[in-house]
Amino acid sequence: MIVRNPPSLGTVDTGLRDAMGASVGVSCETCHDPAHPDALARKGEVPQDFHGGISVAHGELGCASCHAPEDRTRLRLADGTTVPMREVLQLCGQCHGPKLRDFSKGSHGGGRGFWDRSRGPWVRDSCVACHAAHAPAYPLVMPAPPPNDRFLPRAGHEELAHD
Amino acid sequence: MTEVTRRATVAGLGATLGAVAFAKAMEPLRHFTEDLSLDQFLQRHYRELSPEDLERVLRRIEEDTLRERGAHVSVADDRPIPGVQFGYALNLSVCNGCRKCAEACHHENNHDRSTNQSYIRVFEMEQGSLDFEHAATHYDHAVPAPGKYYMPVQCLQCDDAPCVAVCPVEATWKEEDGIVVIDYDWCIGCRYCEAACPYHARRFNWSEPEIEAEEINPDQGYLSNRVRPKGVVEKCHFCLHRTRRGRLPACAEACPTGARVFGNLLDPDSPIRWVLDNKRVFVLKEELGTRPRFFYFFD
Amino acid sequence: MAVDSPELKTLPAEDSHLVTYPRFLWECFKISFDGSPLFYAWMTGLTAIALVGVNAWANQMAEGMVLTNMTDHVSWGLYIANFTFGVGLAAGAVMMVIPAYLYDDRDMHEVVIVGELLAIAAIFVCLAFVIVDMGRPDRLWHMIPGLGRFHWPMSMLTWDVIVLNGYLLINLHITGYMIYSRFVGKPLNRKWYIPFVFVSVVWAISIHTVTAFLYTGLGSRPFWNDAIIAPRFIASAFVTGPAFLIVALHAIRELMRLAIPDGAIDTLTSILRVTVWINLFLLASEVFTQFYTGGTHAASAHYLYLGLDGKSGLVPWIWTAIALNLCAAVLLVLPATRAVRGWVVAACVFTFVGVWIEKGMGMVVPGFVPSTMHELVEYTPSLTEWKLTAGIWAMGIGIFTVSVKIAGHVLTGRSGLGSRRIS
Repeated sequence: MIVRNPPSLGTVDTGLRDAMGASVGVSCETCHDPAHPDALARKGEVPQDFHGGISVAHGELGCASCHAPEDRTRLRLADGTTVPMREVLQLCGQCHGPKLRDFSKGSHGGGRGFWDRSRGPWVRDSCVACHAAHAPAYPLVMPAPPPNDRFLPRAGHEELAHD
Repeated sequence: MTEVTRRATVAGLGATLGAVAFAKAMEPLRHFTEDLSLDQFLQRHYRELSPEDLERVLRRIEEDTLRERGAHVSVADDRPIPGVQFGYALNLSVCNGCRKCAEACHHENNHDRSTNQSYIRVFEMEQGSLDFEHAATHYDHAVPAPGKYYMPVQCLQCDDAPCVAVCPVEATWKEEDGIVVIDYDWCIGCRYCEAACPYHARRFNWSEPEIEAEEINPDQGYLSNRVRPKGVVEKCHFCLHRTRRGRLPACAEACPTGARVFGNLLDPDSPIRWVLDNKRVFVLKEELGTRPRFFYFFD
Repeated sequence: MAVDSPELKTLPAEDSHLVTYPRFLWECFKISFDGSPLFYAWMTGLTAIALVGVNAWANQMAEGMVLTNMTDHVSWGLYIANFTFGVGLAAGAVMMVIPAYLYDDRDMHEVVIVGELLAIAAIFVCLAFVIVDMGRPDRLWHMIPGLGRFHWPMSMLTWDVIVLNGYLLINLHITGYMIYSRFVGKPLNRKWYIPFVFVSVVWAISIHTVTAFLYTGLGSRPFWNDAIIAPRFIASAFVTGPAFLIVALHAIRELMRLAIPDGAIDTLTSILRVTVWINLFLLASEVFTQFYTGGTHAASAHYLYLGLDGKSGLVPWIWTAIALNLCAAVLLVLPATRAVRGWVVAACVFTFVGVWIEKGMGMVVPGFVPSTMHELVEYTPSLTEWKLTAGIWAMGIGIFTVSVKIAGHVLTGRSGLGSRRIS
């Protein structure tokens, strides 16, 4: 299976839009020298300038929980080793082990393409594609329109019950 | 004699009037018979069609769709893949009721636009209860709503399907890979199957489906998503024009939360097998003995 | 209307059937179109209503079943309700056959053919309702065994096709044989109709039982998945048959000036007097079982009798039906009314309408409300459905009228090869 990270991974949202209307992101090393990074913000504090209005709502975590303090392009695992940003699944899986197991077995996270891998790939999204790393709670959405049944009024449209 | 002549005249006049009235009464039927060719009328059941006959039927359907709807389509006959038994599971802890599956089905399967028809109906259920009596299908607020969970229901492709048992003309049957299919050109529209289904999975074409030519999905299957005529029954067919070519069904692809798990039950490495082996799955109305291929689980 | 009167035995039948049968058909045709002004008015009125029905059906075929008010939630409605009721009416004809042949009731023997003709007309009505309910009647041939694919024995609908058509053929044979024999002046050969008569008694029970099994076999709908439905159907058949026949026999006596023995009408009234109470008892049994247990399985019964979640469209219907049936039941036992013609006829009409509601709309529609996924969608028939229903009943009554007229003319000797030679 192919696991795709979102294009915004490892970038900060500048708030600008390109010609196609997509958000323009800036990768971390644009501003942070990987060899001489600034100190990470303390827990509870969130850098506002230049960081696209990041708000952290991920349990009790702070920046240093996930980001490698010495390299902004890498993430830090529990045993101290670091992994590149694109291996973010490993990091998520440390705390969310059962979910990562479910994901790898296919019972979480869905996918597009083929169930029959001999005919084509199964393309999946990594965790952070759906769960924004800093605020992973899945957002509320408005549903697609309900069926337009005769004689069954849509919620709030009881006056349309008889057509 | 004059009495007889008078009676004969009156009778003759009455008969003529009756015949004219009858013809006038039947006039709208002309529109119905216009669309019906002799080939279509005499067409045999899908399982009795020779490969040449089937080819002819597929081409005819393509021509008819072009002529009647202005859309170029290709209709294929996808046969079951040997060694495949389809199964489907749905994670109720993850489904957020967004109805993207129902919407994808609507577009993939060339449903009637005015009714926003879909094979999938999503029920907004009270947390802690499996009682459908207090469920809602027409919710129109942000999801997931507090205190609710969501249960999409579509044809469960039962192994012991009541709909298959009751059809008087065998227009619906279970194929080798587990999908219960309908031959839309054989169905007589009696709707006995609709009465028999315990899951409200079947839909009847109460009128000719309305779809714009540019919205028609041109990749069609004879037993699946070709544009159906009015007067016949249809239902979810696990997108067999996709799944029998190895692809995921439209609803599984569209699900943004990854609640839907589809695959081959006979493949021990498939996600569906893993779910059935590791999650506590259940089926709807198990007590009816329908033995569905569609499983639900909470995580 | 005795079928074996002595004088005709002396007239030999010389011509072969190839000659006499077409003559018989032509005579039938003439009888159908020749009569009193009242007959003309009656048949013209019925034809007009039937044509309204034909036009409604043509429109339904052209636009689709969307012209009805049926939906995916309530997918059977007025048509199948009438079909179900019609099967009962056809089976009820056996209520004349049993006394006439099993109990050698002489009076009933004279007029039993009216019951058999009712069975024929009712079956035509049933077949018409099934055809107009089909989404694709042009595909009716798909049901013909050998030609199409006949899903027998699994599908109860195929059993229904067999028993209904079989019943029609049996009754067409019995009545046709009797009338034609009388027409050509041949004495009746008992072996050509007595076995069929006995078969028709059992067959009559089977048509309504099979129709009940259509419903009772469906585990998806607890309102129907109930063994008592089959006996309820039979009980109501034994109400509607006699009720219709009592009124019809009075009408035949008054309007067609044919001799109808009182004994026949009295026997039917005695039968009706009991069967209306049996019907009510079975209804009560059903109501108790549903409501005492309660729960979701009783939702349909709750909707029907008391309303559900604020929806109560069928409640007035069912209680009217119960009231009508009770009224009829009481009228038929009260000493002041039980033997008075006017009251008996009223009771017949009340119970006929009451059972029509209870076995038609009151049985078919609640099975769909709420749906199998517990959605509550109500149903009231559309204008198209009413027009078609009226049209089909008009056609049935027309068939009944004409066939009774033919039987009356031929069996009294007014028409026939013998009478031709005399006149």
